[in-house]
Amino acid sequence: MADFSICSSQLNLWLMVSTDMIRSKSLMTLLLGTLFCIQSSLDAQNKPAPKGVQKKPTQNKPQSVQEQIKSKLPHQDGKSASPIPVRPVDPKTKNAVKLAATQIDAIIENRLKAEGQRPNAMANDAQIGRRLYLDIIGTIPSGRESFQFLSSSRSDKIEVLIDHLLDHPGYASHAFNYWADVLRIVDRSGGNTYIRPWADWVKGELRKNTPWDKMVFEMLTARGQVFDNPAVGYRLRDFGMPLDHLNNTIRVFLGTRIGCAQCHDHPFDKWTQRQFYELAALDGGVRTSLPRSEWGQKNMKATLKIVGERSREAGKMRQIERWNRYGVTETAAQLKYPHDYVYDDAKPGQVVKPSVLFGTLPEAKEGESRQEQLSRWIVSKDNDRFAKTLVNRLWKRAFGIGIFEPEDDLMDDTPISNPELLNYLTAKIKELNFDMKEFMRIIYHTRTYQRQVTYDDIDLTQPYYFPGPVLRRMTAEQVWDSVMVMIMPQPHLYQRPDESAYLAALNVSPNLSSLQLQNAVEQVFTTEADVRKADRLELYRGLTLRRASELPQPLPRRHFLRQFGQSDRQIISDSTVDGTVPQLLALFNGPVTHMILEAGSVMHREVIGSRGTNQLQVIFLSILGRYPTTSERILAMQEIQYNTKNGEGNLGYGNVIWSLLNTREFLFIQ
Amino acid sequence: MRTKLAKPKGSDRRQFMQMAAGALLGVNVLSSEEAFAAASDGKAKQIVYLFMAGAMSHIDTFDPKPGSKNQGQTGTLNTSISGVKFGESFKNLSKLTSEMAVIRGLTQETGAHGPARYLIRTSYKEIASTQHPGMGSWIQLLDGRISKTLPSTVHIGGDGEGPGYLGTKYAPVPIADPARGLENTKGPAYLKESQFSRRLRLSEGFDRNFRTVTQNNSKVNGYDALYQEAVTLLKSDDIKAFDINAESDAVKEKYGANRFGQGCLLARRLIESGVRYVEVQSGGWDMHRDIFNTMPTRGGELDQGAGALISDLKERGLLDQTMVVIGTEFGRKPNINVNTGRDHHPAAFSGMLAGAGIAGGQVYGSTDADAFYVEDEVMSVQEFNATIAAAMGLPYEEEIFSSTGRPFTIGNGAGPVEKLLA
Repeated sequence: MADFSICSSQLNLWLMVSTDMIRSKSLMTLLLGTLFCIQSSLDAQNKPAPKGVQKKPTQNKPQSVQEQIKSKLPHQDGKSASPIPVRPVDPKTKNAVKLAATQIDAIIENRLKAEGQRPNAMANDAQIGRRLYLDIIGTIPSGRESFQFLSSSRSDKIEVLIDHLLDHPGYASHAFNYWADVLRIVDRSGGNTYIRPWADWVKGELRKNTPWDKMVFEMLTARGQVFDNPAVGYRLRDFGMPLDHLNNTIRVFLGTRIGCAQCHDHPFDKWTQRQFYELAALDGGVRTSLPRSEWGQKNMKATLKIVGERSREAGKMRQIERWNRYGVTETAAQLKYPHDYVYDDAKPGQVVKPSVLFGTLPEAKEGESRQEQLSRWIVSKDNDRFAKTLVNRLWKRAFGIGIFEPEDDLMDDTPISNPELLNYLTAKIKELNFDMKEFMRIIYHTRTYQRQVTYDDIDLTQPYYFPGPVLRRMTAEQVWDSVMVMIMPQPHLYQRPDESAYLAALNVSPNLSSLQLQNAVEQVFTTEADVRKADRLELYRGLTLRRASELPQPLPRRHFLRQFGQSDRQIISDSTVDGTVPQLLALFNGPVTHMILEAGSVMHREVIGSRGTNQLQVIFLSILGRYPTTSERILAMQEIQYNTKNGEGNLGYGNVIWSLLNTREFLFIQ
Repeated sequence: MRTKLAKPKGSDRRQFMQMAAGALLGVNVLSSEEAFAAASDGKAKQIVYLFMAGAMSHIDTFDPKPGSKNQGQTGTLNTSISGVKFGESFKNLSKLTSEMAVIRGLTQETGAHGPARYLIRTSYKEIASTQHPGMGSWIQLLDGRISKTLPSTVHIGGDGEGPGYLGTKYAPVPIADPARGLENTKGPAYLKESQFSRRLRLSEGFDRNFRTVTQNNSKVNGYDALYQEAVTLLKSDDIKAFDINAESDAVKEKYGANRFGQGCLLARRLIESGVRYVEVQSGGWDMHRDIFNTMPTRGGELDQGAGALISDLKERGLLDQTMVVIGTEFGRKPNINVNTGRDHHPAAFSGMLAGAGIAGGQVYGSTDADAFYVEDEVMSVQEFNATIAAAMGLPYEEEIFSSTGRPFTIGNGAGPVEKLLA
């Protein structure tokens, strides 16, 4: 295998692993990879290589993949890898991005000065490189990527890396994890509906970088069944609870909590129960289940008799019917005040006159329904709370703390740590027409983002003026996806199996004849089995080795991701980054730790493929994204030599890898 | 940090101040054995808190209204308390009412699951500027741990509430699946125990620079307590308490062949081994639809699991020192909706306290004929929590200061309902 410092064979490795990716779309990636490669060779010629990295090319001829890998780890042949198109950033807007970043820095630095505070020092290359990978694509950089970034002497390498990562499929994967937590994305809502197409749709929109207002409007106003219009999943997620669904919508998109006002005037905010009902009246005609008379299978009873009431076919038939009876429609029904309405301003049972909470309801367009009018009000540029909520969320994703907190409970007296900043960002996102990727691009280009993190505790009772980002622990998804990078090449190229045939089989007319119905059941069984079979391609030792966004939503409670704090998707933004004992045990002894250490893993291949003291560098670069310090190198060498001397062979390397994986430095984002 | 430690039971103020000073100097206030022995006054020393996530309907469980238009298809059955009925699922619990105080007058103001769960688990409204600790962490702070090796708080089948501003030293240990207990406790066969210690030492060495720059970061430092807890557990025989497979099939069967039931069984094992506080979560109570089909399953699981737990604890003499609690975030609207379900209803709901420290055989609180509003003996969730604290002999009025100097009490200023205390 290639020596770590040799670019040509590095490139060969990528070629071998994923020809698909290189053949197809990822020209940008390839270009950049080459760019970095050339650059780092130049670096190697022009200045002393980092200690221990050999300059001299070795004569290793790349072996075939089959020769290299004897492990049973999936993904090693790249067969099921597929290119994922992502809408790239526009190189032409680079100057505008940099200008906006400078303006943001000025606002923040003025405010810091006024408060008598100083900004943090700039982060070093290793810190900012690792941070950008984790923040933009949700994984640590691989050892090679760290090496390439650190060895490049381009003065604009941070900017180049930002744009490169924004064009990487990991961008959408990582963003999906965030929104899945906010939107409570699940594959099934109870046993009653199947809404995985919605999850796939959200991911797809993030890849396309659909503007946020369009994406939200689409979800709010989608009609029909999930098979034809996956965005209805947003509404079907909360089927049978229209008022709670409205609470969730207002909380998630407008950062406003009106839930209390459902039953009585809000005790802590200004909303009255009457206002709640007036708003709900706009949403009140929407229905989530389709009438059995129209959508129930006409020949269900007769067919059940044929196949046997308790047969496997009967169970499946009922499921098909049930899943087909969920869909979103809007009726003319009017909402009435509840029978226990106690205030004097309306009477129980009286029809509610619709109105919005603040601002004005836009004039109805021709043929537009009440709920479409409401949705237009929610996403309107005139509705400041929509933009404010979004920019604060995005800002918090980069800095670890919002300009106001919590991000979904904005009241008139909520403290805003830097109002000028919030106003600037709110205007900016509108100017960008809710282009989230371009907005994040600006944030990553700020000096403020590129500063060292604030390491000390943040006093949450005091405003934080952003001398830099705060120190964060990785999210569950970042930990898992980073582990994947150490196990398998190009983890971002593997997706959940395509289920379009399965969906087509599920999507049946209610008027099937008995025979057709039986055929449909068979078809569902067959296509379902195909999906399951495809899903097993990446199954290894009980775990499916794909990125978090490409696994079932949500995962079972005992999965690594859930252990590390992934939400069960019952409650809005319910994920946590708190440490627990089972998390430590999972990193001590769990299956993923074994996989990182076993033959065939990326880690293993990189280490055995490098020579002498390079091996330690490879290990440190692969886990912490930095070179070892002198004292760390001595410590590691002692460990390796101790084991060799005591007849333990290479165990010392394993111990070093294990120990780095179990540092806190690994788990935190500097 | 201004930490003011709680007043231990049976000691006067001066002693307490000495102990508090000792604690500030890094001296442990109570050894675990002392803490265990300290409470022999009929108060509870341990708790199993059964949490019904999703909001348990009161009218279908502990507060039925037979004959009313809202009762729907849920039948009722008599309990050992004359004139008191439960929903028909509660065949076991209805016979154990002599141990139980049934609470029918709970009320609060939020109908959103997240904030309501937070409220009943912490006594405080969720705010941005601090994170309040859950009950288990509070109790560990006020009462110390019992076992030196086992954690003080274990949450089974649900995340529960963390230690908040008290810090990771008071963090619960979550167990995802009771049938698997604590996972990943065994290292690979090739790794000798001495190698494990080498790895830990090495890891510490590699982390030195990072720990230096983060020395004022409590999140990073909090992991110290977790590492200590994890390593202690791995080296201890007590870890077997987490393995319900040591129980016979008959015993497993008795608790119910479902996750909640097995969680109750694990809870009993942990209580026996000296875990102070166990929360077992049961999900699936958010019955907006089809409630009369789902209630028998959920209710049946609750009845079987809680019933087996209470009788088992009693048989083993552990109910004299263990309290069993049933709690939920709010109730369900008594009128049946168009989907044959019941919607959220924070105005009235039910809970239950049983065992040590509790005056059993009573019903406290009542709702109106529609089960809509509380009519009599209304109880806030803060009073519910203060009552639990009082039943443990804990100083519910004692103020604890968070790192920012704000005072908090276990019941957010509320006092206990004396009538419920033994």
